[in-house]
Amino acid sequence: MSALQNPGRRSFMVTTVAAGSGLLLAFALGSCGAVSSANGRSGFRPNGWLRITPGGRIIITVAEAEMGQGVHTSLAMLVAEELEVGMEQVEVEQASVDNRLYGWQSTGGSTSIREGWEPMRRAGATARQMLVEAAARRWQVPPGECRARLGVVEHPASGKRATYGELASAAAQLDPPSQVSLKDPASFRIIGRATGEVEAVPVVTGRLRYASDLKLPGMLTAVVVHCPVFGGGVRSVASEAALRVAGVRRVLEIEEGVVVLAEHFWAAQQGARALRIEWDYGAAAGLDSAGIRRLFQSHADRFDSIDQELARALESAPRRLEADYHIPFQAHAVPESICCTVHIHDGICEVWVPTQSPSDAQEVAARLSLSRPGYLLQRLKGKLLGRPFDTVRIHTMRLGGGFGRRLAVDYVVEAVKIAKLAQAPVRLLWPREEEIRYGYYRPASLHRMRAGLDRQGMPLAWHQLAVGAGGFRSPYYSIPARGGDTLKLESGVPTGPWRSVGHSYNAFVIEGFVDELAAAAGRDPLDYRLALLEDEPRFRAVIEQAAERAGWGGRLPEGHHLGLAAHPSFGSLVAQVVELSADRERGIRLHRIVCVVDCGRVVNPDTVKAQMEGGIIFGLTATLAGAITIRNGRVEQSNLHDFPLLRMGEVPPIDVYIVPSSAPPGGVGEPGVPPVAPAVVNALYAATGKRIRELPVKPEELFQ
Amino acid sequence: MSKMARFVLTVNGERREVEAEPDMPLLWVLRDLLDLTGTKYSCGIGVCGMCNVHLDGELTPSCSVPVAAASGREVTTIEGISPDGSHPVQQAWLEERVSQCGYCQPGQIMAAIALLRRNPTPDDAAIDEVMGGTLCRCGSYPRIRRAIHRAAGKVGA
Ligand code: FES
Ligand code: FES
Repeated sequence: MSALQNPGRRSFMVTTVAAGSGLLLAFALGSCGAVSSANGRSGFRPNGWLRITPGGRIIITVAEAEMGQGVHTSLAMLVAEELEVGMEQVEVEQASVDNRLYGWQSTGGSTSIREGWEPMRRAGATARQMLVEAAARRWQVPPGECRARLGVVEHPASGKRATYGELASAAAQLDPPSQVSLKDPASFRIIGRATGEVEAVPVVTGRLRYASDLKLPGMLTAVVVHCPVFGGGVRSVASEAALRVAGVRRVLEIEEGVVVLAEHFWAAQQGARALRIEWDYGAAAGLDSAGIRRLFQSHADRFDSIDQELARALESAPRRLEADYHIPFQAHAVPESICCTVHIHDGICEVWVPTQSPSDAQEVAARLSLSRPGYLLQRLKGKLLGRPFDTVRIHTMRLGGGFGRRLAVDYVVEAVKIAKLAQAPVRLLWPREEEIRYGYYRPASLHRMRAGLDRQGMPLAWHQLAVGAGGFRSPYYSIPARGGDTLKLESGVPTGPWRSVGHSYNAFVIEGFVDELAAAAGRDPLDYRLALLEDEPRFRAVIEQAAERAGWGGRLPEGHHLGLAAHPSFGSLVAQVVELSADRERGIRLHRIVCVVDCGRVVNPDTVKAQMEGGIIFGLTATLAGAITIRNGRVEQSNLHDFPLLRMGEVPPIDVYIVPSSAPPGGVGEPGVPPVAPAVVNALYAATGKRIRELPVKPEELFQ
Repeated sequence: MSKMARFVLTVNGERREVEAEPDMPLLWVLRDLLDLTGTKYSCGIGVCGMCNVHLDGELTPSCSVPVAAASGREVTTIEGISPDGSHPVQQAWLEERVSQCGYCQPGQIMAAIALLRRNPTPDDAAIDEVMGGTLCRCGSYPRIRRAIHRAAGKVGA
């Protein structure tokens, strides 16, 4: 066991609600800013709770939103391991938002396990030690003679035993220990083992209620029709026909568009279709994908402020390579369409919402549901008392897919506005068409890649000019002169984070271009990469294992080809090899994808595998299936028939291997996405000799 | 304009009466009138399968069936499969840890049951053919395939 100093008593707080009501332990995940909290323990800002009731229930309350990444299960595993209970003994509860207790809440960037790894285990260990101490005092034996196992403390010498529930209230009378012992990883029973999801049964029985499934008494359903052109507005609305639709109650206008309120979704959608709206399309009406591409290109052509030393290194190299890569807009297509339910009653604004940003949701709900002075007063009160916006209650619901789309809270804004006007509980649910056409897309961008090679074909200099995107990324390969520049341009199309954010396109352009350099050098793409990674043994090992598992350099079935790509992100290293065949007659056929991940210490290997598989399929869909294009200021696609997602038969077998590691845990929700697109185009190059620098892949161009 | 009418359906073995427009999709009758929300909405145009139900035992996207066409027929939704997840297909789903966000899974399970009733031990091609009708944005396909193989032979016709 390793003893760990509890950094001051302040990092745990025992709260007894009433005598005999069990043990309640508060703890803090991740970095927490110092606040002067109401309880006067300055510097401690808990954002998780562990509760043991006298009846023996063990309830873990966390701020993280569950959206399929298995975070509730993984966090519970960390606690259960150190608390010495079985997974079936713990319940996980989603916190409702109270910034005073949970800090600023947001789930994104694959951070949950990275931030929870230590505090969650320490919380479990602290509770266990207190329970053991309580038992030892009761039996008047040294605590060292007692042991905790599966929710019971035992004193083997005397045969005495007591359940955690029986000890909870007595433990609550004790001070949390200043030192806790964490288990040696070698003795982990739960961490590192494949564990099923804590909420799995309600999912497979259809009983799990997502936000869009909630029904409140007197609730109306709202559908919003947004201006098809970005930035446009309503000129006039003729709503007579809509109001004649059975079940439609009202037609309203808000800044974001025209709202139909009805008794149920079908009526609202029919009403929305019957609206006659004259739009003011505004300035963006001429926008299209080709124009955006020309804009990016003209900026790239005019760019001349590259670092002088790097420019010299590029120009003086014996061989130079240059290529433009194009990335399209991508939609999230969250399976549960955009939704939010709001009920304003008794001076409280209650919000049920699947969101990755509950704190943002609370802030906008407060701003919109309160009068301006009321809002300012609440905000001030919040600053002074550390208890902001207690007139807003956010219920973070399980997400029917997030992928970054639910980091924005535009739908909360709409739902609160509508609920205020409607004076009734309102469920806002966007028809799929609105979700596809009115998103925050993965930004389109152009990447001008340049490299200078020595006579052996090894790179001396590397430069990436990223136009339109969030930012370039320096390659992790050792190249004497390397760097990049970013030209951030607003295309007029709303953009936002999309699973793996900038890594999704930077991996594509870096790994695609490195493959080009290897080809120019006449070298094997694997050897070429390894030669540039001499100082990165951990990354090398991941790539080597992926190549080996995929049979790189060995004999493949007739017509099969391999493509390799690797990319580190969110603290994890991932390499993937795609095996495919491609010919004019039968098109592109994927046979297998091998994925090797080193994400540090693994909490739930099954979650890691599931997230790699899911990330690969998400990335593969954007590589092969479709994209968002703009014409006349509007998104050309409207639903899943013209923004298709890959289907089961289009996805090859995926083999995931996890590299055992004792490094700190890395993220897993996003790092599986980036390598797959470049691995596919690199395999297509191996198969056809044709270099693809634009997504999605268009088979008809490949076989021209 | 209202053409409201009364329809009688058998849902999960129970006789249910609803008053609705004849063209109201079965999906919304289930979700919004009968509060059976296990059947999910995602595309509304018959391409995603997340709204799958069994209509007289046939796999059917409920968003594409007007209530008038379902009238007098037997509808089975995910709620009618088992209350506790004990059906062999649900068990296979739990054992293979299929679900991610879970939103598509009721539709996937309804499709898998329909497949296994007709073809108790399907090969991969047969799985692709039927399961290709139901999308999963989270990418749980490899596990769905494994779960179907695991449940093979355990579903009665
Ligand atoms: S909602 Fe019915 S098929 Fe998509
Ligand atoms: S599990 Fe999320 S859509 Fe399938």
